[in-house]
Amino acid sequence: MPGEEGKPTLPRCWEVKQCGATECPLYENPGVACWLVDNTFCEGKNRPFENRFLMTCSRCPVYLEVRKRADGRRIADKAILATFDRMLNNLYSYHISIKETNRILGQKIARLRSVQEISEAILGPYKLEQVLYMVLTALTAGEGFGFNRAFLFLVNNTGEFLTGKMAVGPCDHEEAMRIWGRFSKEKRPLKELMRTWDKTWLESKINKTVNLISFPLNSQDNVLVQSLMENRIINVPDVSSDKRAWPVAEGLKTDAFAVLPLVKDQRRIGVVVVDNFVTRVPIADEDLESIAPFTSFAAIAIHTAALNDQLRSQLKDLDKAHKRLRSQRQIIARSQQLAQMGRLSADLAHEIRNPMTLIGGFARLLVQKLPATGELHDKAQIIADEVSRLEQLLNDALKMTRDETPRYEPENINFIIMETLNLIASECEEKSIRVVKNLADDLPLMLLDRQKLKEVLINLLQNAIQSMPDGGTITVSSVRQDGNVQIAISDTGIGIKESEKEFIFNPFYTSSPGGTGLGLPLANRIVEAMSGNISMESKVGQGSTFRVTLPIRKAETEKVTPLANLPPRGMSVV
Amino acid sequence: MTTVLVVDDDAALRMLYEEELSNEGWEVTLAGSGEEAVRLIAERRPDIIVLDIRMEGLDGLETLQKIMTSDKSIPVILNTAYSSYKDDFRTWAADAYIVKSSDLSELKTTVRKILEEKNVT
Repeated sequence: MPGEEGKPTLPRCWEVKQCGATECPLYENPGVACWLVDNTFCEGKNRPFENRFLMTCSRCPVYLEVRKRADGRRIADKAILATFDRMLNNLYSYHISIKETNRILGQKIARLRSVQEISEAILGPYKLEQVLYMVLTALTAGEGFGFNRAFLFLVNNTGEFLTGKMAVGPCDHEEAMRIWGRFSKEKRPLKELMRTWDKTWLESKINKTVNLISFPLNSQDNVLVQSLMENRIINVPDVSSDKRAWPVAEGLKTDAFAVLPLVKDQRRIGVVVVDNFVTRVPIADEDLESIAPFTSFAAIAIHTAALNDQLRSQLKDLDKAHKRLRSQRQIIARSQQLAQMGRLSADLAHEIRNPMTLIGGFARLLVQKLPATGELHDKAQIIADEVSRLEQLLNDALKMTRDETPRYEPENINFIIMETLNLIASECEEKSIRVVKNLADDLPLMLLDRQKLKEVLINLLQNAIQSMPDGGTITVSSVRQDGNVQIAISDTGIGIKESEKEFIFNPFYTSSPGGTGLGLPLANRIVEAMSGNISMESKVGQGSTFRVTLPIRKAETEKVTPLANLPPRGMSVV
Repeated sequence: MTTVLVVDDDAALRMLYEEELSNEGWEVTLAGSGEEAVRLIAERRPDIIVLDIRMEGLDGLETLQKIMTSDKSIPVILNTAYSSYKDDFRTWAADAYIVKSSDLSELKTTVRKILEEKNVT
């Protein structure tokens, strides 16, 4: 269109666009190309020229009108215009694709950020079960990765099986609707959802199902094992076409799923299986890729939590051991107290011995001096007898408090038995007791405390004698048994009642009127100190058998006899 | 006549021993302390000594040592309420170690045995 004064003018943009912006610098100014002017009132007025022209002005009717008028004059003009148009179009499409890429990048960054957030949330001083639950919740929550269900399998302790540990998700459509309805109403943030761990969850049906599933790690045709061994994500969009997926599909009742390996530093921890069993939305490979950073984080968290659990239980054990130690220390302190008391009572006992010697001694003198038929004689006799009994009690009690550490010398047990039998020979004869010896002739020399063993045998023999007030037979035998020598002392006496059997080794327990109740416990203590043991069989009316079993310990080398064990000059210790 | 020296710081016990041992036909000399015993041994030279260990002043073991250095030929029987002295190597120098008891037969038997061995009648 020719201009008013014969010069060609540009279209009046304010009229074409009917913008009515009278303040616009272009208003009533038709001699200027509007797209070249900054600060117009058009859309995008503040953007730089290149941007504004590409996105807005190149599509504006004002420009298109000018473009039309410019067309068709000369071939050269046409060619340049066509080139310009094409470049403009290319530029426009580039711009659009950059914008789209930006949008996708933005999404990915957001996703990554949320993955990072979720990942950080599962790192903490949690128990293994808690961590497993958090991982599975992150995979299934709408705000997380949004799968319908997730199952976790871990390699067991022996490294032989991949075992179902935990699952999160509904077990059927109905439950799905119920759970998801509740979640969408509550709108709880993911991090909070992840912390809703509750042990009762393990009792849910889906958990019980997954707990029953276990695959051997050496099976070649299992998709879970394959994913773990090759450390790669496997997507199974259609179970029917993949045989390796059948056992999993059958166990989890699913027809499409994906497997994500949990591997940390070459350490195979387990796998996660996800599916969209209710919504049937196909699982995209890209989605799985974006989860990969999360699963490697989960592997670390699970590994750490398992180690933590182990550490916790070890700490608990340690604590227990510490408590035991403390109580044992108390016991030791107590026994030290007792030992102290033992020393005190030993001193006391010695102090008592002098007056007792006096009382008993004079009573005996009286017994000798008084006429045997008199009443006083009998009374003095009673005093003398009672003092004797007290003295015996005192001697036995002192032996109890004495150090029972044995002093070993190479000895032949049979000699010790013979020696001991000689000591009681006259007493046996007096009481019409026959002694039968049945001693093995193949006994080795063994390390023994002669004096202590004699004490043991005397106590057992005295016991046998006391059980046969009307005479009888004592049979003493020795026999070699594997690494032990066993001495048996049998009597034909009154026997020990069933109800008394458990008490006979208790100090001060006695069933015979003359006994002090210290003989058997003392014998027991000595034999235990020699690493042996005493056992007993008895039948009322038939007699008792005591068996002393002692381990054969041989002298390793010819030892120099310690000074303390040398016998004194011509001394007979009684 | 065979003489037995009884050394004990308890007068009542000395009385008991005197009576009991005299009944055996021995002449009994008494000493109430280690010092007195040493003096009496030098004066009368007994055939055998029955020596208590725990005494005020010179105790039995010190007395035994003095006896050993002056006259080794007199046999000594240690006679004490304490069995624990047996572990003291000094007691090995004695001919016997007897724990006191109201029944003196053990003491008497030991005295008799030692005297027989030494051919003192």
